[in-house]
Amino acid sequence: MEPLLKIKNLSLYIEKRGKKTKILRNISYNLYPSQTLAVVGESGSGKTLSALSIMNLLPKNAQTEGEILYKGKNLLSFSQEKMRQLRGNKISMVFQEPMTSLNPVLTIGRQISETITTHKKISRKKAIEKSANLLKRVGLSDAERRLNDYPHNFSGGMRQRVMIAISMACLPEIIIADEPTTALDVTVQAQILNLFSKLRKENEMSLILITHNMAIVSQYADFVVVFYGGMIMEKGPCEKIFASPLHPYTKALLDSLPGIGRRKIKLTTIEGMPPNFEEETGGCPFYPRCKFAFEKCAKNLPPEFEVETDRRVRCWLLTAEKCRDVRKSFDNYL
Amino acid sequence: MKPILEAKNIVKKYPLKKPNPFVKRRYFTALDNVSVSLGKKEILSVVGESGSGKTTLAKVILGLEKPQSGSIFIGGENLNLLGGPKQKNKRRKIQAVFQDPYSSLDPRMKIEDIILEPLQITGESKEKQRKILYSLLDKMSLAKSHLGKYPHEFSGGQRQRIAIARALAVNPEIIIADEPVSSLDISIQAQILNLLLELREEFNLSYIFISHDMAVVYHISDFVAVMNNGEIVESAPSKDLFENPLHPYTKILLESVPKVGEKPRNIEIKANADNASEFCKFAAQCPKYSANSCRKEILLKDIGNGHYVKCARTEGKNND
Repeated sequence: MEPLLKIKNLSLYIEKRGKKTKILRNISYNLYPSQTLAVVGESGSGKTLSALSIMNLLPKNAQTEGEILYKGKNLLSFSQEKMRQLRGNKISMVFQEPMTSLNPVLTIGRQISETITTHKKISRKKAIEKSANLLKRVGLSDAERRLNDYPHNFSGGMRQRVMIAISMACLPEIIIADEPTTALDVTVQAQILNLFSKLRKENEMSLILITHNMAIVSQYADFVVVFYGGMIMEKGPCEKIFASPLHPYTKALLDSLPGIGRRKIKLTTIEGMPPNFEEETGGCPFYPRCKFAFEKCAKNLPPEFEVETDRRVRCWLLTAEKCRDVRKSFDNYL
Repeated sequence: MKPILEAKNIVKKYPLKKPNPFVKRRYFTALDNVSVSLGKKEILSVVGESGSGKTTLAKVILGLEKPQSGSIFIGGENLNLLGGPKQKNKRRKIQAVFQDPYSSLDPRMKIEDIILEPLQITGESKEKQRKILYSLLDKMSLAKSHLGKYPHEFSGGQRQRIAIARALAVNPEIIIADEPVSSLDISIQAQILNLLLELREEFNLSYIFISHDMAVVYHISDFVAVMNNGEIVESAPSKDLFENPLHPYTKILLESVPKVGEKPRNIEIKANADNASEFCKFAAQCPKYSANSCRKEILLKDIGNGHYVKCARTEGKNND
């Protein structure tokens, strides 16, 4: 099957006071139709920036290299005008903070119907009707009346649902959801995630889910991409990553998760700090915090090893005899 | 064992805006007859969704909000009956750690001043204060070189550690932690949770831990109190509550938690205004609603083993 979205060797630089810093390094992944792809990693690992580059919403001082192919066309070369036709129509995004991403001085109805009238040839009245339907689908009761309310009349969970309604307004092919449920209560979180998977099945929509909640990933994702220090450390089908994480970082991420039903006396922590982008060492960015690191890791950046089809891991532990001992201890640890 | 902190029958109401000047003022009840008790070295978690009154309870216990009725006992003494300076001395035993370490530290104060500030009221000599400061730094794995820095120079996890150091400076017995890890990354979250557990052993601390993350609550707590609409609907030892939840709301809460390796469940909470009952605030959303039992007065029931539940549909002794 042809991928709907193909990110090829994407690198991103941010220029500040004449100094160029490389934030994303050679990111590649594919998104297939009606797939849920989860992007996980710590804050500052480049998850959000990689999503923003798909939407072409990067800050002015950012420069990109590489390609983002949507149906074979490179989004990075699109003009603003062309991009505007795509945003909200074919690709839409749900931002992290529902509190700040809605316009406080416009009614909810106006904000939802705006998306529809911009992209479809449809009358204002029809668009308002459609908006009411959308609100019903995201589970807001009394939709017609609520269309005339302003964002401040809504609670956090309701605002997030409004954001989701806006993102689905034109039945896009791809929705990028950046931590859509971090600010929400668990009960609301479950409802919103179920809504996403329902919509995905009904409309054959693809979802890029950016999150750091591994439990959500295991339940909803088909494919997982693990970010660290602006690089993809491991990527593969969801079940395989959870059954046998191959990168020490993925493993540590799964271990530090408190879980119900398996109480541990002490949670495993990842010691040390997330990497600083300004100093490039040439080695693996996870090297200073890795329990299994050896000399090679400090100097040479590991390439992406293809372990199976569809599964790639950036770690020297996966190579040859030279590091068999380390490899052994890693296996025991697993 | 005697509890070191007890809150009894706390009621806190906030006045609502009057729609016009001639109607009687109405009130929003944030806490409705809430009682909790905390033993030495215990961790009591308070869970519930936003708006259920968790934070209000913390504020009342800290003395930041004055309740309409109810009293707070520290070490068996009623704070309401104690005079100013004595009450202050007792209050010093309770300290707080807040959710967002980005806004709970003054951006214009150096770390040194932030941690020393509470020490100044203790009346210790300057040298002693320094000594305490250094030992706290050591505990929080912060370096002496950090002292002259400002909060913005630190990461989220480090800031939360500074906030904890500040809370520990006056040697408290009880820490009230209001969502202390929810704004942190998972790996950092694990560090802070481990630190809190270590500190409990070292300083004989008790915690009231407020959170909406059930997995974190399961990991850390001895007792759990579930709040809904300003009431405690169920409270039990942690293990009991997770293995045998009795209140319908607790069940929904536990089922909503995503778990690694399980298929998502379809949870829908449907509100049905017809079912509203003056005796049970959850009735309108309750999947187990029945007109016969839910419209009568509901008392907190004792299931045994320290497990209490407030639901008409659960069997058990009445407790008053």
